[in-house]
Amino acid sequence: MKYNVKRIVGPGVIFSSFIGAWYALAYGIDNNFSPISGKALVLPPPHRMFEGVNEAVRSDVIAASWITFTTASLGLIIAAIVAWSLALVMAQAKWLESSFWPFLVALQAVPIVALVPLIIQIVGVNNKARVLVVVLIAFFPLVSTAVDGLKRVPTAHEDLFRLYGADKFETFLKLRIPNAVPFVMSGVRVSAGLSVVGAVVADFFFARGDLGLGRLITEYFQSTQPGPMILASILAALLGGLFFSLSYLAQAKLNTRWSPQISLRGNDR
Amino acid sequence: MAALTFDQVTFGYGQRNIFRNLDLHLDDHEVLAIVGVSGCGKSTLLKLASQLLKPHSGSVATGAKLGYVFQSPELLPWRSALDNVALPLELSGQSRSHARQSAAASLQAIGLGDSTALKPHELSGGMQMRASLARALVIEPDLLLLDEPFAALDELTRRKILSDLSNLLAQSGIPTLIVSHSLTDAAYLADRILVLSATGSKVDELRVLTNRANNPIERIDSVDVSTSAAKLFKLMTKSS
Repeated sequence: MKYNVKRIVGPGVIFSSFIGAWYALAYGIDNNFSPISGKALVLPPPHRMFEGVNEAVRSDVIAASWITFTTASLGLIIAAIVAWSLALVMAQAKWLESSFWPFLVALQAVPIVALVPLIIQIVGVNNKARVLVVVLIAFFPLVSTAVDGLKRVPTAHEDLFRLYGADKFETFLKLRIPNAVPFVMSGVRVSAGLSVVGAVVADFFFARGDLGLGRLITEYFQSTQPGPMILASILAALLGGLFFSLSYLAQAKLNTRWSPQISLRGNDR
Repeated sequence: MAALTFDQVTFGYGQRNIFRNLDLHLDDHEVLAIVGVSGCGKSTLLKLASQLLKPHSGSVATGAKLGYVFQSPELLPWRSALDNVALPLELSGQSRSHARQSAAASLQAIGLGDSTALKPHELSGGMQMRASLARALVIEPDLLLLDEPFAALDELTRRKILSDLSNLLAQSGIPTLIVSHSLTDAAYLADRILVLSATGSKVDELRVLTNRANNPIERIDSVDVSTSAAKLFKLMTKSS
């Protein structure tokens, strides 16, 4: 009973506080409402959050969501292919791994904004540039988890393969790669969320070609249309949630098949 | 004919010598148990026997096909029981279908005929250990190496598997080296028991009084086993 009350009251209080804060902010901001039309200029209150959203806005937001979805998907797929290929190379030898790591860490550490001029020089200001940003953002978790999975094989399993005379290729194919699957799925889950962030952020820097949600949010902000801006932001959040949920489900499904052995006593029937 | 021979084997980790000029000899069809206190080098001895470790000096001679059962079952979690047991045959170059056929027969013989499609996490601890035993036996090994295989099992499961294994070894005659910290397990399974001292270099020996083949599970606490275990305890106390 006590537990149920907590489950209802806790989220209720947090949600009410959030809505209250929103109202306070909407009505507390100076000159938030137009003296002529009465429309919100910066932040509409919750009950008018979609103010200004009409059919044209809706179709623009849906089209932009599709662009962001395809940009994020394509970037994630390319990042995965390149990252996993590199992980296979890095897992071959310690010296290969330590040779690549500094570049990967540097790539991870450099803010995307610092790479914008270079990207413009190489691929221009277009859809390809946006996909490249997604690749750069999603790359590191994918490669680091794959290398981990390929290398962190239980010693007894390695011994088993040595005992039965497996060569390096067989050990890779039948032990290291299957062993890496749960690790790889953790990387996919992290990178899936990041890929949507990357696609939206890339819109801010590379504003030519088809408009994604990031560009649309900027346009609505610049033309003081807070209602459409909120709608586009919610769509971006939902898209991130969709990517995360899909990868989470895939990970859960695979983890069931790959479930590591539980301790003997814990698993006794 | 010897199934396993250690000839003047010296081995250690870093500065610490585990074995110095160790001679050891396992006859064909013989079951030899190694007992000793923790850290005396029991598992190291098994790894030397399996060539997973190389001696610093001396030599280890054994047959080509080795079956190894680890302390925990060490089944590959993404493979079914059948595919886990088929693995050694696949790695030795047999076709997948032939390997799976032999694996099914091996699982049947060990009492897991109905569980071939199950993944390791769907098997109980005892079933996992049986699958691990089936994997070691499927290659028809020249020598079977068992590294405290019952340590993590509950008492009832342990006794049942111990009894089945004892019968299986008696029937098959596979020479076996078993490492155990359990004196009763050693006395129950083995023809001969070696006691390693805490330093690993000194070895006492005890010939077991019981007869494995005529020693059903009900007699595991029989006078013979208890007497052997008591003698072992004295030897171990003395050697440590």
